[in-house]
Amino acid sequence: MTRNFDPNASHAATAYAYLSVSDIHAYYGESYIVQGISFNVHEGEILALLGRNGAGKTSTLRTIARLDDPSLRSGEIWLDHKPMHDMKSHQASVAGIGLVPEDRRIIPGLTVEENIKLAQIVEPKGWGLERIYGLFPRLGERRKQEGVTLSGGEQQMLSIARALARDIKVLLLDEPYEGLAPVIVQEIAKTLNVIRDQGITTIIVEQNAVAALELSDRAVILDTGSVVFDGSAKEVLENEALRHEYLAI
Amino acid sequence: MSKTDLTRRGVLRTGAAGIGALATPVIFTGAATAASHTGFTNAPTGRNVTLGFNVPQTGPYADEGADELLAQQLAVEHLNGEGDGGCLNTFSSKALRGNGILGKKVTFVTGDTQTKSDAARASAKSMIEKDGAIMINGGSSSGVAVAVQGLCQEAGVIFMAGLTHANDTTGKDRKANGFRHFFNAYMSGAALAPVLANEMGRDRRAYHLTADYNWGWTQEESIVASTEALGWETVETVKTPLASTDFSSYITPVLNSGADVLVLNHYGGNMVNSLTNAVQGFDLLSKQVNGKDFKIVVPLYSELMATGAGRNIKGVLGSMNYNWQLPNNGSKAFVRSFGEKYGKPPSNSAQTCYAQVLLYADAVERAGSFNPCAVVEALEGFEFDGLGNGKTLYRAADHQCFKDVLVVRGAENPKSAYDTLEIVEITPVAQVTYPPDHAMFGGRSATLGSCNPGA
Amino acid sequence: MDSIILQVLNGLDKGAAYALIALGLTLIFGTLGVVNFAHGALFMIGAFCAVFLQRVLSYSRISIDESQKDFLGNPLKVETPFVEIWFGPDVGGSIVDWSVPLAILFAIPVMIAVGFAMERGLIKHFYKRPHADQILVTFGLAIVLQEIIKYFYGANPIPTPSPEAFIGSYDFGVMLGFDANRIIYPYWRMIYFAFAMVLIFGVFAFLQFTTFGMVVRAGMADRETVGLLGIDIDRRFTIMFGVAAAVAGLAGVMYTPIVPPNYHMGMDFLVLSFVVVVVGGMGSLPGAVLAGFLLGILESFASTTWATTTLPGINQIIIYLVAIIVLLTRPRGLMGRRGVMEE
Repeated sequence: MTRNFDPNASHAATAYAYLSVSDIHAYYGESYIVQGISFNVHEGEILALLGRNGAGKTSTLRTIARLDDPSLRSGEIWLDHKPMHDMKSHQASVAGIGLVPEDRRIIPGLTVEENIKLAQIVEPKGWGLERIYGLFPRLGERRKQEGVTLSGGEQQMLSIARALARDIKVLLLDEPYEGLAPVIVQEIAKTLNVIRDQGITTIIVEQNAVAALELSDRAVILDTGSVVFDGSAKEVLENEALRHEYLAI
Repeated sequence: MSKTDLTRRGVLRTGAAGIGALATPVIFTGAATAASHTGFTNAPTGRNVTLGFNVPQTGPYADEGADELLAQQLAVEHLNGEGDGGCLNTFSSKALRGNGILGKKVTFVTGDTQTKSDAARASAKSMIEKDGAIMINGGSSSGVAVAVQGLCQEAGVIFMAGLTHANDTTGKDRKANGFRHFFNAYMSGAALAPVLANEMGRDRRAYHLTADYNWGWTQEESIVASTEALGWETVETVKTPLASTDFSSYITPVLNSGADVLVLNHYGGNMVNSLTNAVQGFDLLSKQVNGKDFKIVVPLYSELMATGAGRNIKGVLGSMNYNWQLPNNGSKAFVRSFGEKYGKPPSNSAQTCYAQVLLYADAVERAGSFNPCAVVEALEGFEFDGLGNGKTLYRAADHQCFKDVLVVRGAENPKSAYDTLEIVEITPVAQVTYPPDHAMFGGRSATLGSCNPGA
Repeated sequence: MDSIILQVLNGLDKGAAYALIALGLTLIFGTLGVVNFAHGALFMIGAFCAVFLQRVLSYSRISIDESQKDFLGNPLKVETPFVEIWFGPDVGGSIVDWSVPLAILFAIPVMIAVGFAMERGLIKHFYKRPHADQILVTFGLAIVLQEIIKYFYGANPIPTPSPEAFIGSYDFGVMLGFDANRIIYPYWRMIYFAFAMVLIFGVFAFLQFTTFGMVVRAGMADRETVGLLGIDIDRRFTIMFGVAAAVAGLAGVMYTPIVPPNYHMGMDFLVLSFVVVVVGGMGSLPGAVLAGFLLGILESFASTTWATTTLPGINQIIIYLVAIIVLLTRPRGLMGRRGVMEE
C-alpha cells in the first residue's frame, strides 16, 4: 500500500494547525480500530474524511469528540492551542467540538425545540433559536412536535441545528446524507454550503464521497484505521486511480 | 434506555438473599464425646463445669435472647456464690450452697440459635463437642426447642428448654433428656377460657389468625378446644405465613364474618404487627358486633413484644408463664437481683431460663452426679417452690412443669415502661393439668424413651 | 363486590410503598445504570428517621416522684418530655403525637445526605462494573446498614403511631351504599396512599416540567448524546440518586404507623420491589409505578381466604409467578422500551 502525501499538506510541516490530530490510537474494547492517524485541519477549512466501510472514519470522529467508545489510548488532539486528549465528551463540547452523530440521535421524549434548548444549557451558546429557525424553517414549523416523529431529512436538520446552537469551533459531520433521498440530500447540501460560507471549520465523513468532495477543500482517506492519502479534495476528484483504489468509485 | 449493556442475564443474576443452611445429619463419634471412665458425655474432670446457653442472638428474637442471657449469667453468678444469691435464698430445696455444682465452679459458653432450627442444632453441637457443655439451656421458639432437644438426646446431654410454648415439646416430641419449665398452649387455653367466658360472656364467636407453624397450630387447637368447651363458637381459623409483616388483608374479613372476638395466635413480630394493624389501623376495639364490644385475645404474651405493640395492647387479654409483679418471695428475690444488676425487671423468658439453670444444678447436687440419667431421676417427680412461680411439680411422665398460670391484660394506664401488663388472675394448677397421654400431647404413643448418658 | 373493592383498597397502600421504592430503583437504574440492592435499606432508614425524631421529641426530663414506687420499691422516676415542659402539655403533647408527619421534614435532608454519601462513597466506583458486581456490593451495603440500625435500636419492632386524629378507619361501604362494616379502610392508609400519589406526581412533574428534569430525561434516553451537548450528566444523575433516596426514605417514614419499623423491613420490601421493576419494565418510570400498584393489589387478592384455600400458599408466590410469566412472554415488562432485556 503506497501512501500518497501531498507535500503541501499541512501536517508534514507541523506549522500551527487549528485542529491537530496526532498519531491517535483508539480501541473498542480490545478491538484496535484507529491505528495511528494524524492529520491537521486549518481554521475555516472543510475536510472530507473518506474511506470504505469499516475504514475507521466514524471512529475517528468519535475519538475527536472524546466519546467513551472508542477509547483513546495514545496520541494527542489539539484544538486552538488546547489539549483535548484528556477531556471527556462534555468538556470537549465546551471547548468547541460539535459532533453531529451518524444516525442523528434525536432525543426521544423531547420536542424539536427542547432538543435545541438542550444544546443551550451549558455555555458557550451559539446560534439563537430565531437564527436557527431562519436557516431551518421546517424545524420552526414543527418546533412543538416530538423530535423523533420528524422525517429523516428533518431529523438531520435538527441534529445539525443542535450542533450550531452551541458556539463550536469545529463541526464534525458523520454521514449527514445517509439514508436520505437525493432531493433531501440537496437540501442538506444547501445548508452545509451556508455553514461553509460562515467559515465554520468542518470535518465531513460521507459514504457519498463525490458529494463530500464537492463541498470540501481537502480530503483525508482512511484504510483499515490508517491514513493512506492526505491532500486536496480536487486531487481526489480528478485522480481516478486513487478513487478506484481507496474509495471503489 | 441509554445504550448501555442491558442483558437479561446480567441483571437477573441476582445474588441469593440468604440461603439457609442445609440440615446436616448429626453424627457423634465416640471420641468426640470424650466418654471417660465416668461413662457419660462431657463428664467434668477439672475444677469447672461448663453449661451451654443457646439463645437467639441475631434474628427477630434477639432482644429476648439477650434477656435470657442476662438471666443465665445471673444464675451462674448465684450458683458460684456471687451476688446476693437470688433465689438460692428462697428455693425450697437447700442442696445448693453457692459453691458451684458438686464443688465445681460453673462456667458457660454461648451460642446463637438465630431462631432457626438448623443454626440452633449446629451451635448446640459445637458447644457440646468443642466446649464440653454438659447441659444446654435457652431458646425462644418451639421449632428450635424441639430440634435442639432431639440433638441433646442423641448427644447424651441434658436439655433444659427456654421459652417454648407448643404442646409438642413435651407432647409428641418429648424426650427423656429434655425438660420444660415454661407452660404450654394447652395450659394457656385452660387458664384463659374461664376468664374469657367471665369477661366476655359465653355467647361469643371467635375468629382465629394463626401463625402457620407447629406452635401456631397447637395453640389454635388448644384455645379452640377450651373456648368451645365453654360455649363459644369458632367462626373461622386462618393460617398466616410466618414471614408476613402486614396483616391487613387478613383482618379485613374479620368484621364481616360475624365474629366478635379476634384471637391472635401470633408471637413476636407477628403479634406486634397484627395487633397494631387490628387496633391502630382498623380500630377494632371500638367496634360493636352482634351488640357486643369487639374484643381481641393474644393467648401468649411476652413483655418485649408488648413493648413493640405499644398502646395497642390496652385491654387485650393473654397468658404468661411468669410476670415480675407476682407477689411471692421467690419472685421478689429474683426481681430484686435482676433489677439491681440490670436496671429493669426480668421478662418471662428470662425467668424460665434462670429457673431452669437452678433446677438443673440442684438436681445434680441431689443426685450427687452429673450423669444425665442421674439428673433425670432427680428431676422426675420433683416438687419445689421459691423460684418465682409458686408450688411447682416436674412431672415424671413427660418432664413438664406444672404450676399456676397467669392471665394478664394490657394495662389501661401504665405508670412506667414496666407495668404495661397487669395480672388479672392466677389460675390454679389443677385447672390446667391434663393426663400425659392427652390427644394434644401425642396420645398414647408419645413416650420419653430412655435417658441417654452418651458415651 | 364489596370484598373485591376491599381487597383493591387493601392493596393500595402496600402497592404505593412498592411503587415508591420501585420508582427510586428505576430512577437509579435508568440514570446511573446501577442495580441498587441497597434501596430497601433506604426505605428502612427513612422509617428510622421517624423513630429517631419520635425519640428526640420524647426526650424527657427525669424527676423523682416520692409518692410513687418503681418495680424495685425505689421512688418512681417520672419522665416528662422536654417539649411538654417548654410548650405546655397540650402543645407539647401534640408535637410528640405528630412525630411521624413532622419526620417528613426531618427525613428529606437526612435521606438526601445518606443518598449522596452512598453514591459518592461507594456506588460511583461501580458504574462501569457488571451488574452482578453492583448487586453484590449494594446488597452488602444493605446488610451493613441493617446491622447498624439493629445495633442502635435492637431487633424488636418499635411502635411509631400515627397522630391520634388518624387512628381508626372510615366506612367506605356506607358511602357507596353497602351495609355498615363491609368496606372499611383505616384513615392512615388512605393518607399514605394520597401522600404516595403526591410524591409520585411530584417526581413526574419535576422530570416533565423543569429544565433539570428535561436534562435528566434526555440523559436517561441517550446519555452519550447529552454529553456531546456539553452537559456533565454525571453530576445531575448524582442529584437524582439523592432524589431517589429521598423518595424511598419518605415512603418509609409514613409507613411506620402501618407496620412498626424493625431493622429487617428494608429486605422485606427490596426483593418484591425489584420484581415490580422487572414486571413494569426496567427503565420505565410509569411502568414501575403501575406495576407497583398492580402487584400490591394482586398480593392482596392472593391473601384472601378464598385464594389461600383454593391454592394454598398462593399469597407468598403470586408476585414471583407473575414476574415469571411476564419475563417469559414479554421480557421488556409491561412498559419497557422494545429491545431492552430482550437478548
